[in-house]
Amino acid sequence: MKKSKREKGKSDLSMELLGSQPIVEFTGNRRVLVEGSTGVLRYEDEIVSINTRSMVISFHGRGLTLKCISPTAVIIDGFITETEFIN
Amino acid sequence: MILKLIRWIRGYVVFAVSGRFPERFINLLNMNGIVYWDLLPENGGYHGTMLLSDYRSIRRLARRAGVRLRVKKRRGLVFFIRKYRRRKGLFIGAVAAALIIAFLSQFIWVIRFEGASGLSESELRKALSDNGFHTGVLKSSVDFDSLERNMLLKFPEIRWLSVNTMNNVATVEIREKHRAPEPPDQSKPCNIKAAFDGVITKTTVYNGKLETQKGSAVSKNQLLVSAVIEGTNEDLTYVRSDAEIFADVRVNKEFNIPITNYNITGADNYIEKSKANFLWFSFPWQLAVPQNGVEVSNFYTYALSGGEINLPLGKSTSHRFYLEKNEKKLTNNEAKELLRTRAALFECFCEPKSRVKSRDVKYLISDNNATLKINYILNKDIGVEQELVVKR
Repeated sequence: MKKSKREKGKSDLSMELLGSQPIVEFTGNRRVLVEGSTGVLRYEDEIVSINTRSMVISFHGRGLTLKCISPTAVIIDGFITETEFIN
Repeated sequence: MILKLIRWIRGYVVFAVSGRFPERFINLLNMNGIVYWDLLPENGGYHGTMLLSDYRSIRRLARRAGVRLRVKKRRGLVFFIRKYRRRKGLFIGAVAAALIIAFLSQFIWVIRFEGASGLSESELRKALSDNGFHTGVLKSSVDFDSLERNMLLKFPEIRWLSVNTMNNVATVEIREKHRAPEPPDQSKPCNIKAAFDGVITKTTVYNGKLETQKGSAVSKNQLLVSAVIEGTNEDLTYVRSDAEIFADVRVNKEFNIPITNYNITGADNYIEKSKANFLWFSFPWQLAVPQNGVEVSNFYTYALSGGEINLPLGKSTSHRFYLEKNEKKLTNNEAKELLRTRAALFECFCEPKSRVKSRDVKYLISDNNATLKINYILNKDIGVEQELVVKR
């Protein structure tokens, strides 16, 4: 099916935007994977803040631990109760 | 498990980070590709674990992040050696153990058999031993090709044999031959003749021409079923006769036993001799002086088992029973009972397919002998094959 000019413009724009956006993948509220992280800003039992290129993502909860850290991705385990995006 | 072992061999430390910006320290570790694990928040900082080699290179990063590092635990081979460096006996023992293990690994300590269901394991072991393959043999001294060949020659029942060694365990894999029962030679014609005198009671002919009939009296060697069949054009066909010809047969049987019986019994007391087996050696731990006389001995070997494998550590015990000869005079009833048992055994095992129609029993006793005379009338298959030579 042919796409209209307007639709084409929209998809290009979204791809451009998504390129710099982090990918956040939840497994229930027990585990979260953040791809595209640039560093850990705060790491405590009840709050973990991850810096990305376009925003800071904070996870609130209980017993939060950094399961795995690589230069571009972070896995957080624990009981996540709240997620906050700060632009 | 393997990862834990590698970490232990390389050595690792549990460290604590405290300071104003511990998160910055984590980021610096990531950027420099330093691996750490079990990082958990603590009061005003973190504690985690990293390899000893990495820990030596992170002081610069700690200074940059403005944090203070502190080692909480040291684990691994390096620290273990350092801890016990003054106890030289421990190291000598470890080296000696390693050398002993390396030396003993050159020998076969366990021989197992797989697939030898119809062959005696002790016979196989003896044959292997005769060919120089036994427990405690040096692996490099065994010519496996020749061993396998000799075993195949010794045991014609074996179709395929392979000796596989893994560490100190030799597994002898055996495949036995499947022998098909030999079919009767159908090409040779044969008659069926009577094996006994008797009166025919039932005839079932599968092949051949019946030459008698039910109710006829037949004598020994009389033709019962003929192999020669005459065709409609007076041509002759020779076949292999097959039939069941049942007849009432008179059989006289006599059973004798001496009145004075000698029983050989094992004495209650026996001599036990035990040996402890370890590797190539056996150490006697029980000594006994043998007595004179007839003896029967049995021999047991117990080996310490680790899972499915018997270890070269165990005990061999032999018992020597000295036999006693006892004289016993049978009473009339005992002799009768014994003779009846013999008659019953005869009926069961010597005439299993016959039916006893009548038995006339006479019991006679003399000074030294008891005799049971039985005149049987048995209903049995009296046909026997007799090959026919056809001259053309």
